[in-house]
Amino acid sequence: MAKDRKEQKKKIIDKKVSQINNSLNKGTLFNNLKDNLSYMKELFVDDDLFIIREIENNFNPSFRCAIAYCEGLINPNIINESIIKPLMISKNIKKDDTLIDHLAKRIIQLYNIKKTKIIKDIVESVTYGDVILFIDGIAEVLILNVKKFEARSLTEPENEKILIGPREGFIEFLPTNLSLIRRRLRTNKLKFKYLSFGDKTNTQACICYIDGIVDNKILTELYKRLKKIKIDGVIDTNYITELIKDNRFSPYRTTGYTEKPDVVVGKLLEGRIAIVLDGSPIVLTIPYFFVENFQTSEDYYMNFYYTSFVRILRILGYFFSITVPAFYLAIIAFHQELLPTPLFINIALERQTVPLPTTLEMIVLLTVFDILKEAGERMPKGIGQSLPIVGAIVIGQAAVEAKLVAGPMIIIVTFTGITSLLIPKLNAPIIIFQIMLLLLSTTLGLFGLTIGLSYIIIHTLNLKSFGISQINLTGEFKYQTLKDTIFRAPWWQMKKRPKQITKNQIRMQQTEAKQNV
Amino acid sequence: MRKESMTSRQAISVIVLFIFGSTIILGLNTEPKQDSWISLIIGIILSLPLVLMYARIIKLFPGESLYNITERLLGKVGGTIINIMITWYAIHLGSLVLRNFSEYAEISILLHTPQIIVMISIIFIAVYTAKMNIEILGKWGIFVLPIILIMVIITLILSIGDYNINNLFPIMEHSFKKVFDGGFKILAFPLAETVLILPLADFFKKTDSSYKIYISSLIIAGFTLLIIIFRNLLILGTPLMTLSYFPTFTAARIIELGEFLSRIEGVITINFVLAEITKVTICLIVGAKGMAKLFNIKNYKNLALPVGLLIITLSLTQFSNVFQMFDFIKIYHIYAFPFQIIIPMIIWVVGEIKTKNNKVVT
Amino acid sequence: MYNKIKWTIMTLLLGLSLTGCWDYIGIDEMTIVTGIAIDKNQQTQNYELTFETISLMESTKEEGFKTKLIEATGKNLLDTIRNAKKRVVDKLYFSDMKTIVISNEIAKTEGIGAIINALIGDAEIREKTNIIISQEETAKQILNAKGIDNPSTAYEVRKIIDNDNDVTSSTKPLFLYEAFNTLREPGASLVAPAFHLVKNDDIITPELNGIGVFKDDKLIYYIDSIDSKYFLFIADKVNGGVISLSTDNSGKDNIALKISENRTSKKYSYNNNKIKIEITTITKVDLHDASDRLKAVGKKEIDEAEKKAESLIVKNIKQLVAKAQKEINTDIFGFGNLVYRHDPLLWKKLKNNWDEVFMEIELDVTSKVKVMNTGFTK
Repeated sequence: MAKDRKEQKKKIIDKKVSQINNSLNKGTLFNNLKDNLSYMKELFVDDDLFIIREIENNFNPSFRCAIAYCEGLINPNIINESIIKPLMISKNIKKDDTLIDHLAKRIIQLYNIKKTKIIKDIVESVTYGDVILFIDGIAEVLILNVKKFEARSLTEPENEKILIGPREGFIEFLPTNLSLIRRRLRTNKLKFKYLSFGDKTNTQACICYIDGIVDNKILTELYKRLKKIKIDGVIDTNYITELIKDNRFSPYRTTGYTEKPDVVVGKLLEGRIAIVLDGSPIVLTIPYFFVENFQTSEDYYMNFYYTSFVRILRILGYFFSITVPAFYLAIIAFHQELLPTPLFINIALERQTVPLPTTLEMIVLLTVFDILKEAGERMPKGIGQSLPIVGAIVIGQAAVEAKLVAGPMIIIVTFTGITSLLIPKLNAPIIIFQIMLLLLSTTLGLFGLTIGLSYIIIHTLNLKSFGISQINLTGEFKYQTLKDTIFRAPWWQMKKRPKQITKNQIRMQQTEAKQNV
Repeated sequence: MRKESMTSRQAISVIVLFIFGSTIILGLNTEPKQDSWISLIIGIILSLPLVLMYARIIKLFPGESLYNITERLLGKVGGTIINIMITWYAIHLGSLVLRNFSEYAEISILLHTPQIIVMISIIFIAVYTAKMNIEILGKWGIFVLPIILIMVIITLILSIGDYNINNLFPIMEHSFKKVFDGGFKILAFPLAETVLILPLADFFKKTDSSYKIYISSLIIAGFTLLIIIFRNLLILGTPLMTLSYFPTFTAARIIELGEFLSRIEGVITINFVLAEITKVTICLIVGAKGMAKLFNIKNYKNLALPVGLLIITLSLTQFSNVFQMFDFIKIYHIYAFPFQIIIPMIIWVVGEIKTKNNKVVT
Repeated sequence: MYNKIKWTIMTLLLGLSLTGCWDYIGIDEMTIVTGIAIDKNQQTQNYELTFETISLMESTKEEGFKTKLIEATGKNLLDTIRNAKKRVVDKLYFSDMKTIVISNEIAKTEGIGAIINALIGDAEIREKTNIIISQEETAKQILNAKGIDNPSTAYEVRKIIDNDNDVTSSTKPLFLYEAFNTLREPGASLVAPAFHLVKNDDIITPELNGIGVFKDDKLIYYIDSIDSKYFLFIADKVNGGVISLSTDNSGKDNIALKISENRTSKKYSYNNNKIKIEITTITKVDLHDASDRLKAVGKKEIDEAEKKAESLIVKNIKQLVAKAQKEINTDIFGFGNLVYRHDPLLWKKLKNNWDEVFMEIELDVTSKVKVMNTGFTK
């Protein structure tokens, strides 16, 4: 019964919501200016930001109009100079059928003018910094673009700091972000498609891709998934990430993200698709390969020997950070025979006075490390940087001296913690798999660890991004397929784009490549 | 839905891992003592025609599972009987392999842990893999095989100091019959167990040569096993190799290079588990496919879990101790004979005749 | 969706309640055994075992570890090992055991076969544990003595044996698995390092003292550390050591040859029911002049030294074999195994009366010594 009532209630609410939505969608304007304005006031009742300003022409008193806008989102100078001034002092305004076109074409000096009859459009535009021009006697309005938002200046993103290469980062303003991409790709093949998400937020998003390189199958799959999104609001791109994910429960990412326009351009050139969302400096790129977790933009800007080495370090770092605690535990508690004798005796001596069993000791210390890390990130900048180091040394050293934890344990935990910092994109899998392997090796030792690793391997091999396997192991190890995976090949060898993403693979003409050699 | 398939290299690595399965744990038949390696070579040579026959069956009916062929060739009744037998063999082999490993675990690494826990762990991974697209198994093969081969090479290099070349002599001390007998046992376990790949033939691409897949996996696996048998023999010597239940493990215990690189036997366990998982998974998939065919269930993946549980039950109940298991391994080649040789032979002969007369509508 | 989560949680709970940490054992909850000494009480026929263990209580990181001895008695070996647990808190742990000392008496009267069989089946005891024979009254005395460097006598003994081959070549290490194999190899002979106690700087300490040789699994003879070098020459196990000889007629050994490399090959031939063994040694040495005159060593001296050394090696090898044939009456060199390896059929024929065949063996020894350099001085 209760369930029924709940459902009924829900139905009623749904009905009301849809009524309101419908009234917006279907509601039309009146001929009369007064009616229009009172309708608008009704819509924006209790919204003091919404302002209506009525205007009359000096030379033609029969012409009356009004502009409506939201305070703070507009550029008042432009309104004064380009809208109000011409409307007031133009001698050229006559009331006839073509009045609205006449206004748009001859009177109002603005670069972006749209016509509409739909209330929904009006609401969306006025809340996004446009000015609406209502004209008496016409059931149509002009939407005038005079947006002026306060936005952050372009700075280097904190999370993707690099030594060499472009430092510009995205900001929270969509047009600026798009301009950053457009500027770097001066071709008509670069396509931008606007979408909007969220019933309430109506957040604008833009899908960018390079026509001719992008695989249409992936594009249609993306649209299909985006269309399914029904949510009241999207505030950050992560909302979309999780809503369009392939393996929903997997801790791994199935979309790439970046705050840097140069990275986006690089991905677009490989045939990927970028999703830019207004209000978020994070841009999504799809499809996403597993190796992208280990790639950084710097890889392509620095010497290839060095970056290849660093990339291998990152891969090892991931492997170590999930297995080392479990491996240490398996050895300490199950396979002591694996320890060389001197080490064995030393660890046994260290462990003698430690009150906690090794597993608990490990979990406690890992948690402490994570607390320190998290606190360090959230703290104000000045304290934040010193906190983890000081905390670790103080807590670590003091704890060892007080014989609360064994010395080797501190080494293991710190090592694990630091290696996990190498690959920030994999922080979720690291946390989950670390604990999973730890518990497994507590119960079953090295065997449990292997079982856990097998699970992780199979799970990882099964990862998909928009229907494309994230890891492609066909067994045919050709140089061209390996060139940007565990190492980075020099640029003159990267002749092809990834096979899985695009059919148009050739990226460098053979002759050119030879010249470079 | 796209048809699930493996590339030929994936298939090869999976078959190689399948052959390794419990072989690298139990070691091959060591009855011919220091002549075991000759037995192995004989076994490989003996398995060649057999494997060619398996490959020919796939070639006759490209892209089709053995389960589908049998009914068409031998009629409803005959086909069903053979399907039941193959399904039984797969499930039983899976349980046997599982038991081998759990016994190993109980003797060497997890002395107090109940065997059923070890079994559940492995079956869990096997079911998880079986439920996935078959391509994942192929990728798993590509990923895991190099790990195992690298480990074999590492143990080979680290143990050079412990080799005693005298352990190989005298060559052919035992009668030819005994060595040949050993070869035949090696044929039955593990080489001819590849008959269980036949029901998976529908996962191969039609364009891939089944001969290439079978022969290359036989060669890779055979060569690696030869290296392993030489290594064990050179390190352990005849008496210890013959008397040890798990020669590779014992050999790994002896490997010592300085203080730090000694004691790698625990790491060897990782190897064992990886190969074991592959073999059990394949047995599981074959068993589940057979069951699905018998009970007319469309998607065999739904049967992965029940068949997995069946394998555990069978594995737990069939032997009461480790001696029974090793006694059964001794007569395994007789038990396996109909599954490995007679059934494929019937299918091959009938298939060859029927395709020639174009009676088979494909 | 909710069902899935429910199932996962239930499985996890079930899994957690089903699993325990059966094999989990704290690293500090073990008594680490470094060596065992095996004795037998002649009256009660009970084994008396002495375990050298690491005492974690007394050890500190700064001063290194300390050891203590634990004793146990019992009817058989495994029983005795279990009995030891009655006296200590934590389980005895054998994976780091390096040395098994077997008493002279057990080795002589009872044989070591039973001990080796019992120990090799254990999962913890490693195959590469050293076996040594105590020349003292009991095996315990060896472990009771203090090593010079290492706090653990067992480890000290192990290191002495490990490094012996490169420096003095006076003994052949015997690992547990080798002992197991050798006892089962047709015609092979078992040899184990022997230790006795000496006084060094007023402290009694174990010293390597040649090898004990076995017939089957019973100890029959000790070869002292001078003769054992020539035993090793026959066994092709020489990697170091010194041959001293005199080139002038003063009778003083004025020249020392440091062996840097040696290769021995053995061949046999069978004629008229007689085995003839050919032994060829090729030795590379460094020449060190130990005489009192200061004179550069010329080609002549070197040639002379080489010749002398060759004849010395030949002589000593022949002596040792003759000793084996006459005094020891056993094939301690494993010549039988040589025959078996190359001609199993001949071995089958000879194996029943191999002892008699061995007495009659003819020996042909050739030796080649090459001086490679003369150290730092000319």
